[in-house]
This record gives sequence, structure tokens and C-alpha cells, in this order.
Amino acid sequence: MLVWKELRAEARTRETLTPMVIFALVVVTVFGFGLRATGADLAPVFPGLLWISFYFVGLLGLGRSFSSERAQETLPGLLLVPADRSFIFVGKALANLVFLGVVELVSLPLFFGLLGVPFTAPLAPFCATMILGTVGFASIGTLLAALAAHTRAAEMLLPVLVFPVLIPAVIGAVEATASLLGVSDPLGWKRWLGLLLAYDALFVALPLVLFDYLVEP
Amino acid sequence: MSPRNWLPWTAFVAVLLALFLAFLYAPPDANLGDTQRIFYFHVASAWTGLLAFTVVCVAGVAYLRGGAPRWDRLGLASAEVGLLFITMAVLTGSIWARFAWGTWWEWEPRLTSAFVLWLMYAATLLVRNLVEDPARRARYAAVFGIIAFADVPIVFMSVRWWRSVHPVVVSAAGLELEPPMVLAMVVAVVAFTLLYVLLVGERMHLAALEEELAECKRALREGERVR
Repeated sequence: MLVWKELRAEARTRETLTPMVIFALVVVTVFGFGLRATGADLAPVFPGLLWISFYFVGLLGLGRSFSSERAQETLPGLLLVPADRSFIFVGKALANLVFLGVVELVSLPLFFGLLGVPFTAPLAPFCATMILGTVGFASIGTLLAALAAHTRAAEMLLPVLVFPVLIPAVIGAVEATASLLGVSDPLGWKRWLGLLLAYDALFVALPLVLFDYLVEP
Repeated sequence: MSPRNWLPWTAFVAVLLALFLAFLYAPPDANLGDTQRIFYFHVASAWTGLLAFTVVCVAGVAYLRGGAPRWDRLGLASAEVGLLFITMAVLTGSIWARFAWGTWWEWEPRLTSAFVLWLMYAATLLVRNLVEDPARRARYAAVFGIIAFADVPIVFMSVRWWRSVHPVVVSAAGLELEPPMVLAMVVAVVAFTLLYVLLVGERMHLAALEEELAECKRALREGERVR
């Protein structure tokens, strides 16, 4: 229900998704100019570039998810709704998941095309990697965005909070992608997907418990 | 007798004893010679850093459940002191890497995890600095402390696996510890733990005084307005 509110508000204004998609395109272009020009083979570093870009783009969306509520002073209204407060968290996290998912769908072909890396991965495990790598980020990122929103220098603090906590997800997603693209051990991806799954389980469950404490009046 | 009387002296003697055992009593290592002696302080500070962050997590849970200010003071004190010890652990680990493996930094699982821990707890202290309202500051710091602590085992596991696919030149040299070395290590761990307890106690005391001072100032300001 709340996720519809988020998505409808976004559909009307498009003030989060549009900048995210454009930023993703900017990032590919910058990587193209910065790295492709050397003529080096980008395949070994491609998984890292891909996920670092997605997580940076995702950070843009996270930063907005509570700042607009604060700017329009709508959060107190949401808190009055007679329901468990974690539904606010679930709504925001799902919205962030959808935003980043759309960005990934749109920009993946461009990443492969513009950086000259052939797509050789088996489709189903590759999609699973994309989903698992994004779910944990959206969940823990949304919680930390709620935390950062009420501090001074929110937009500075958010990356400092998110990235250290995200390190296992970065490792899991990058290594799974590398394995699927044949850069490293072609069977290694199973173990990395397991790691991502464990990470996602932990960081979907924990924010559900902790979110209540962040929005207490 | 209150611990504030005897703890400083006990910690002082324990640290002296640890220095003696590490530098004079324990024999030099067969391969590394005297440079191995940094190991005692490295292990002790790493242990204390990890202990400190366990305390931060426990204090965070206790604060969120009960809301007693002393749990928040414990969380604050333990995070600050823990950051100090984990900084020492990373620095001594880097020096160890230089002399044992010939490089200042090695992406060794324990050392790397310690560094990630450092980043997360530096972030905890940033959260404390950037939130104005004391009650909200305490809650936010507790929440982030719990998240960071829950992340530690999974960081360690992932870095371990990650290293297994990225072959490195060095092996985590299996250290042969003789009994005097074990004694020196245990005493160093005990001494650092006592030092930690001492520093945390003092920092909590200081935090309580700060809160009292803030309360006095507030009362004074409002009192003047009434008159």
C-alpha cells in the first residue's frame, strides 16, 4: 500500500528515478573515457565497475527517500497511521528496490556495450545475482538513510555509514558476477550467491526490528 | 573500596608486567627475531578492540530496551576507547606485515576485518557528533552500533573467502609459540583489558559530568528568564 504511494509520487514528479538513470549513463560514459581509451581489456575489472556504479547510483535514491518527507513535513502524518511502523520502512525499501532495479535494467546493456565486454553469463544465475545484490543494499540502505536524514550533513554521512556495512555485499556481488562472466572460477558463483543470501537475510530482518527506534518521536 | 581507587594502580602494574614479559622475558622468535615482539601488543589491542565493540552492541541493545542513560554513556565510552585500541591493532598489524611479509599492507582476513571495523566505528562516532538532540543521538548510535556489530562476522567470512580466490604471495605464517611467549601474550591481553575498563570507567564518569553540566546550564538559563 505504502509502496504504491511512493511509486505514484515518483511517477508524478519523476524527481528520483530520472536523475538516477541519467547519473548511471554519466557514470558509464566517464568510465568509458577514463578506462576504455587506454585500450586495455576491461573484463577483469568490469564486475567491480558495474557494482560500484550501481551502489553509487543507488545511494542517490536512498538519500532522497527520507529527505522529501522531511522537506514536506509528511513523516509525522505517516507515523499517525494506526499500523506497525515497520510498514513505512517496507514501503520505502521496496520503492528503493524498484528504483535501483529499473536503473539496472536500463543501464546494464549500456555497461556491456559501451565498455566492450561480451555478455557470456548464464541468464538465470546472473539475474539472481542482480536481485540478491540489490535487495540487501535497498534494505540496509533505507534504514541508514532514515538514520542519516535527521542528522546535520545527512548527504555526507550516508555514504560513510552505508559503504563499510555494505562490504560483504560488494564482495559477494562482484565475485558472483566475475564468476558468471568467466573472469574467475566458473563454478564459484554458487558460494557467492550463498553469501549474498545470508547477507540479505540478516539485513532485511535487522532493519525491520530496528526501524521503530529511529522514528520514535 | 571503589574500583576508582584500586583499578588505576592495578592497570599500571599489569601494563608494566606486560612490558617486562614482552621485551625481556619472552625469547626472540626463531624466524623474525625481536620484531616478533610487537605481536603481544598487536594481539592484546585487537582483542580489546573487539571486546569494546561487543560492549557497544550490548549497551545499544540494553539502551533501546530500557532507555537508561548509563547504557548510552557506556556505549559512547566503549566506542571511543575501542576505536583507540582497534587503531593500534591496525597500525601494529601493518608494521607486522612489513617485517613478516615484506609489505606494509596485506589483505589478510583478520587485518582487513579490523580495518573495516575501524571504518564502522569511526562512523558510529560521526553519528554521535552529527545529531543534536541527546535522546535521538543515543538511539541512533545504539541502532548503528548493533548493525555494525552484526556485520562483523559476515565481513570476516566474506574477506576470508574473497582471499581464497585471489592468491597472494604470503601465507599467514603459522607462529610457533613457546610457553614463555604464551604467558607474555596472556598477560598483555589482561593488562590491555584492565586498561580498557579503566578508560571506559573514566570516560563514563566524564560523560555523566558533562550531562550534569548541561543540565545546570539549562536550569540557570531558564531561572534567569523567570526572574
